[in-house]
Amino acid sequence: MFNFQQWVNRRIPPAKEVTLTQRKIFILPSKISMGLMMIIFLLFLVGINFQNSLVYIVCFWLIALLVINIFYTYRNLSGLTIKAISAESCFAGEKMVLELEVSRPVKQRKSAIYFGWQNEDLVELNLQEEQSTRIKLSHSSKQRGRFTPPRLDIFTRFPTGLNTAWSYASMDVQGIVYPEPIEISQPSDQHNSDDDMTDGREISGGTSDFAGTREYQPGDSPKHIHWGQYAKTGDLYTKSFVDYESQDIWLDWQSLNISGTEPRLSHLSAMIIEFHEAHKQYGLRIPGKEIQPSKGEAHKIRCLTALALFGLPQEEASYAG
Amino acid sequence: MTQTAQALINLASSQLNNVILGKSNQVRLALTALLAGGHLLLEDLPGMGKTTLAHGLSNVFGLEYKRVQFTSDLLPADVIGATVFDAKTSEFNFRAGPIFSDIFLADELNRATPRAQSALLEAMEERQVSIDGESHMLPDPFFVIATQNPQSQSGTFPLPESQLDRFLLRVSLGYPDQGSERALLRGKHGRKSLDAMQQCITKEQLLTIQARVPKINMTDALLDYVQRLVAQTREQDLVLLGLSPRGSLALVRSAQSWALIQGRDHVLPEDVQAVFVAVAGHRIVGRRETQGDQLARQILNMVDVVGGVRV
Amino acid sequence: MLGKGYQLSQQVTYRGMIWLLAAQLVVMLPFAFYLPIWLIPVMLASTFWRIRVIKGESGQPKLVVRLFVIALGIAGVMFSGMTLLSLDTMVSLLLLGFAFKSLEVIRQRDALVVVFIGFFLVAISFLFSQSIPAGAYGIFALIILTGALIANQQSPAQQLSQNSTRSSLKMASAMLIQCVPLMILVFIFMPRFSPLWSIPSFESHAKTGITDTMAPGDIANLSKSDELAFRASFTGRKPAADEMYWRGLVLNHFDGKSWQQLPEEYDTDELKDQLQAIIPWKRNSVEVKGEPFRYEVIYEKTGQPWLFTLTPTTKVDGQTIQFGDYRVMSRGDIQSPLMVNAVSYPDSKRDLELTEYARQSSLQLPSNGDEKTRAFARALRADSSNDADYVNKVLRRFAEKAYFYTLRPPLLGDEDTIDKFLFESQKGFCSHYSGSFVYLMRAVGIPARIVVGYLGGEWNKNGDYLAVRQYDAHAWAEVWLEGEGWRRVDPTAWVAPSRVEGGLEAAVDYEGSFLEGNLFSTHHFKWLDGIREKMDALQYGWRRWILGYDNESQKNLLKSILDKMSSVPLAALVGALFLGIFLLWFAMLGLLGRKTYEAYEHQLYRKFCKRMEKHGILREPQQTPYEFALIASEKLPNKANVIRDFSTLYQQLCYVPGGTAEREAPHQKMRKLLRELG
Repeated sequence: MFNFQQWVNRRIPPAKEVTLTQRKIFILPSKISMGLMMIIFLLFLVGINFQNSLVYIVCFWLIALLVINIFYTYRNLSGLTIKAISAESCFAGEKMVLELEVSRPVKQRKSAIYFGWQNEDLVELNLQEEQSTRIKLSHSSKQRGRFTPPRLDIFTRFPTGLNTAWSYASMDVQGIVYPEPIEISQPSDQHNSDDDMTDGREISGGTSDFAGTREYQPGDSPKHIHWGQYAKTGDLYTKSFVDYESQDIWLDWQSLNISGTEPRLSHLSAMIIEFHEAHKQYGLRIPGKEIQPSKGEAHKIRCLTALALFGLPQEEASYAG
Repeated sequence: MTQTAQALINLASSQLNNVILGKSNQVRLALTALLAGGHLLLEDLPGMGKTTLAHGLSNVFGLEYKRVQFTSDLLPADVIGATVFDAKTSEFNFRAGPIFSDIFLADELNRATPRAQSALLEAMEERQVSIDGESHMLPDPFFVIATQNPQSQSGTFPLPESQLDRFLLRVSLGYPDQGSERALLRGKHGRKSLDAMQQCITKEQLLTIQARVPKINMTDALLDYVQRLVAQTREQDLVLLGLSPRGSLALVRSAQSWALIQGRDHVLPEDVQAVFVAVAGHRIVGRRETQGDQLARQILNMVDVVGGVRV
Repeated sequence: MLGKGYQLSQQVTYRGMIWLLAAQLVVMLPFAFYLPIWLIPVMLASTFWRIRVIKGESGQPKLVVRLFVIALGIAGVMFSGMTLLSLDTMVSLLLLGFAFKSLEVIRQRDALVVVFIGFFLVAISFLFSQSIPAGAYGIFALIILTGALIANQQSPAQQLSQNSTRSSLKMASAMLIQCVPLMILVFIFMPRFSPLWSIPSFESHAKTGITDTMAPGDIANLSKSDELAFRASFTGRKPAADEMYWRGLVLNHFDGKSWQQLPEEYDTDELKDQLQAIIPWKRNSVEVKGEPFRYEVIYEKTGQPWLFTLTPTTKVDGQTIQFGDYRVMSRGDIQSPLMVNAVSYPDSKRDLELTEYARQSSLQLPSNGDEKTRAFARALRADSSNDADYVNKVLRRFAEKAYFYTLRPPLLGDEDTIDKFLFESQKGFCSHYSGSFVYLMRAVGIPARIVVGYLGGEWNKNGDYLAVRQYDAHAWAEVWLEGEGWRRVDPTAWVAPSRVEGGLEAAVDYEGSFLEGNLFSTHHFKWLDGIREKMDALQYGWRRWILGYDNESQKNLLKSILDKMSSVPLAALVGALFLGIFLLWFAMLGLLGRKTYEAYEHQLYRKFCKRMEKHGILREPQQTPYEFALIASEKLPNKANVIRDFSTLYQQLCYVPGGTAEREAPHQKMRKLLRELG
């Protein structure tokens, strides 16, 4: 039995960059064009019965229009180059965003081309003045791990809607789906020396917490001068503040009192976001991997990626930070 | 002017090469950053001649030079200055910090707290200092050379990616080669010769040269190449964080500056290649083990110089 | 297959709707000339309503309202005095539906349907008029309709862009123009069929031209029109002015006032059956003599079945019937230009033996009336030696007595019209003279009849074809003489010889009644003759090659091709033509050729790299032209110069500013250097 989907898969293998060429473009008359065919048939009958050459001409002109439309619709799709820019990482349950760069041949303008996944997303694209543009498509993600967006449908009905030309693009791009962040309150009886958050190192000169007053030194900000004290005593005092810079926090798989792999990963994921947003330094220790304490965007991504790929077979080593 | 500018630059670099031995490429990169009006990050172990380079630059251009050692208890006010209460007059006066100099050396930047770091980096970006609602313009030219230790040691605060972006170039001096080291050991060169340096470019001349950098020509074919490079740094497989638009602008500006130093009025792919690692090394974050300069070099080797689309 | 789970925005947009309404107006406009005039305000009102709906000024009409309006429209059509089931009624209803359809266009699908019906209506409008302006307007309407189709497919963003209207129009025109070759090919080769069923006639088509009765004065009306009746082109011998008697119909029955074909009136189909029964065409009644005329006639639309040929026509093709009185009729009414090929032998003898029916019918006279004429006829016959001499005497009388040719004859009343004309007024034109002549013949027992048709015509400048206009309408007579058969006699020619030689215009030149009441006719303006001539030639081509292209023409064309080649190469030729069109389209749409858009110098440089590869020198991607040139010239020292020059040129073209203006010469140099590399 001929299987169209398998055949398409063979014909259009996944690639970073796809140019829609003749062997990748499919074209069929749209349903509505049956209406025009009926009109053409009627006109042919009218032409026969009235022996009217001009009716024949309109009739044949419409036939030619139907045929040339196949070319036009085909042209609207052909030569389009689609390049995967990125599959943005996301948390499970969120929409994964695939960014594509679409460019057209120099001399062919493109109109009303649709990119989409069934029941997921549909984006319309026009390339008139500009040579290329970027579009973003979203696809729902369900499980953590690597996510390769499914084959993309690209289709157009331009210019007349009488034909539908379509093609597929399998983008060879992977996004990482991080575990859904769900913080799970832990039973407090478990003493956790590593996950020590309140006992951090004090850093003077901070701005967060009031830590008393001290004598004024040149260079102190006037904002921090204790004016009330000055009014009472005539001496200048400065309110001093401290920041807590915690020592390296370790997020440790072993010390979590949570059962099940996924809940643990979800919890760790939530903690990473929390620490990241608090600008804290943290390290991650999960079975088979240890990431030294650090902070910043790249560090967060590294940690979350490690969580996302935890327990998944291939490529694991190469993602080590 | 071209001739004289070229002569001046040559003179300056030869003087610097006398002081910092066997590092002509790094010296040129440092000059590139200075002429492009950007800042320089030196990543090296202590004792590699970072301070010498900074000092030398200031001597050659006759610029005012200040140096601050960044430590964990350094306060922002120690860098940018502060408003001081004069008890006698009961007035607040602004006392400018060491940053108010033409060349500012921030030694071991990653030892300071993030607050002190960001105070400096903000000043670098805005070229002005705001204290208690008052803005104070920094001098022009204003050139920051920051050094940091390469290994993240305990108690350091690595600069976040967004702030590393503020440095136009990152250069490692590295160990000197045998010949240079020998010369150094003989004591013929080095620090002492710093004092022997002569100013060969005036501040005004420097500013004129700086103004010429953005006018160095770039053709479409060259920009095609630059864009291919930039696109490659954004490849997902290899890179976690690619070159930002600011980064690609830095690449172009540095290449122009480099071309100017080479005495050309247009940029060649060679110029782009010469500065690429210094521009991209600290801005991109690799997905795999390959990181930094090594990753940048890998990208450079992947991208075809030839080709392009006529628009 | 493409999935179905897509939520395409299916709504018709504002601009799309505007396009649709414009297209609708363009399509409906020409019908205003043929159908009840009240349809126009109805169409306009529905358009206006729809515009208000898109602007949000009023709501979508409710179903009840819509039904009411539709019912009202149908009632209006019914009460417009048109017969049920005539084509006019159907087209009117279709138009109403078309107008109202726009009111319920909400989705794109509906918009497409409206455009499709629009296409249909454009074609239908050609049933009403096939003139060149109508054709041109039709093309315009097709462009607008296609434009509407395109505009409705454009995305909203694109529709809002400034030149969206222009780009839709441009695309529509380009598309239709590109369609033309294929359309022509199909037009030429698509087999033509005979009508499948009899078609309802158009009431609105006024019957024009010659009618089947002749009362005094009828033809004078025709003389006021310069409308074209038909065109004829001859192969071989061309007729002289006095040979161009175009026979249309034969009037045999006189009721004392007017002449008609048969005692009773029949409608067209019955008439044909009747004629078939009483005077069927017999090939052997003609004794063929002399040189024939071979000619091709294109008849204008008249709504009548009469065809006009030279007498006697021995051979005629197409949808025609011949009858025993030497006339030719079309099988159906002429609703669109009809082309006929015919052969006539003017020197032949016809009906040496007269059938009993023919003798009777051509001797018929009312039982009484016009006594004076009868008496005069008897007296003159008694005076003549034989029938032929009598005929001559009558004609000489017309020539010698004070008879005048005029288009403004006095009224003759209802009785004794022949008497009054012959002896009192003595002023009249062809129908008066032929009528009274036939009366004079029949009064003495000589079989005679009136033939109605056209006389003469106007040759175009090159003499390619003859244009016969309504004002060339003419009536003449035929008498049957023993041993000679039917002889054509034109009494008018004896009164006004210039009518034959110079046409009507010359005959009535003295009184200035030519094309009276038709002030705007271009025939009044001599200086327009040149333009008129050209327009006429254009019209002829249009009629001949487009409107007249039918089964016969197709056969002839194929035959003329098949004479030169057998059918297999012909099929191959047609196939090749189709293929050629497709290739042409590919080329026009820019789908042929390579897809690389790299500048030429880059392409040359890649060639250069290929050459180097052959020498075992591989370029790494990151190597700049300069670097590579160094490496390559080191490895190929004997070619070092060429390599260096080539690389320098390339580098200059690519990276040195200002070198962009002149590229041709460096490219040439680069090519030359490449050749030197070998």
